[in-house]
Amino acid sequence: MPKAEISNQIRKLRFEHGEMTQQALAERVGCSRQTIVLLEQERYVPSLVLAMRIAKVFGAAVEDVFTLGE
Amino acid sequence: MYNLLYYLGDLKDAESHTMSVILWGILAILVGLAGFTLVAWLRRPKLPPLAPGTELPATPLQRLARWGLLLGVLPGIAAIAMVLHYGAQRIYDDDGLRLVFTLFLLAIIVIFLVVTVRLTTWTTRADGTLDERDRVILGRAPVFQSAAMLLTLAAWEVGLIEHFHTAGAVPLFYLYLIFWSCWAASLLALPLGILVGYRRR
Repeated sequence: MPKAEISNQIRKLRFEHGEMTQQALAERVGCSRQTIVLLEQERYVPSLVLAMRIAKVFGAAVEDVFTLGE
Repeated sequence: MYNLLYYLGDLKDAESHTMSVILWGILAILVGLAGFTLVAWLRRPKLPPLAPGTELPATPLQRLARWGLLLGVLPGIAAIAMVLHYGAQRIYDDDGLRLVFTLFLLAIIVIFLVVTVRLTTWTTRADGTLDERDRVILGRAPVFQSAAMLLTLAAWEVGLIEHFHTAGAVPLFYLYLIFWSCWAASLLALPLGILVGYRRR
């Protein structure tokens, strides 16, 4: 799989939300911490469901968290 | 049907090199396929390396596959060691040895059952024990099982025909070994497929 063409602000948003840990985010969205690590490093493109769950945790719109690369 | 049997009879009586050529041809095709797979794997789009210092924690599925493979390989190695030490014929003829040999292989099945029960429990949960990535990896792992079974059967076919084609018959106990080895290869290929899946994704 090539490098994900979707960039994200997850790491930044975590720190802006009380320095939320990767584990805490993983538990809230129902995925493993490994998936969060890979998402932050843009090595994995999430499903729409997971993307929406992550955005919901941060109270943001999906497009504010994830950006389609040019 | 008669013609086919007649043809097979002819083939059996033909020069001994005929079967060798066919079998080595099959082997060459298998090696070619393996080479093609290797080249495809080497040329796959590569992910950038993880940032330095990044800790990639193992998922529950990954840990289960590691333990399943480790615990499954041990009785498999013990069974192979028995065959190498005593010989297949002696194991087949000796009830005690055959019982121990079968117990080793049953141990692989028991471990696989434990893994399967655990997986089934996890797949019915919605607590994130298995996330979407895990499920994709789990869904692709059975490809390894069918490949492992095919390779095991191919190895038996080539080996047995090469070894026994002049005799024209294969000792009965090889059926026992073929069955169990295919089972074991298939069961062990599942955790292996899962672990490879994590390396690829």
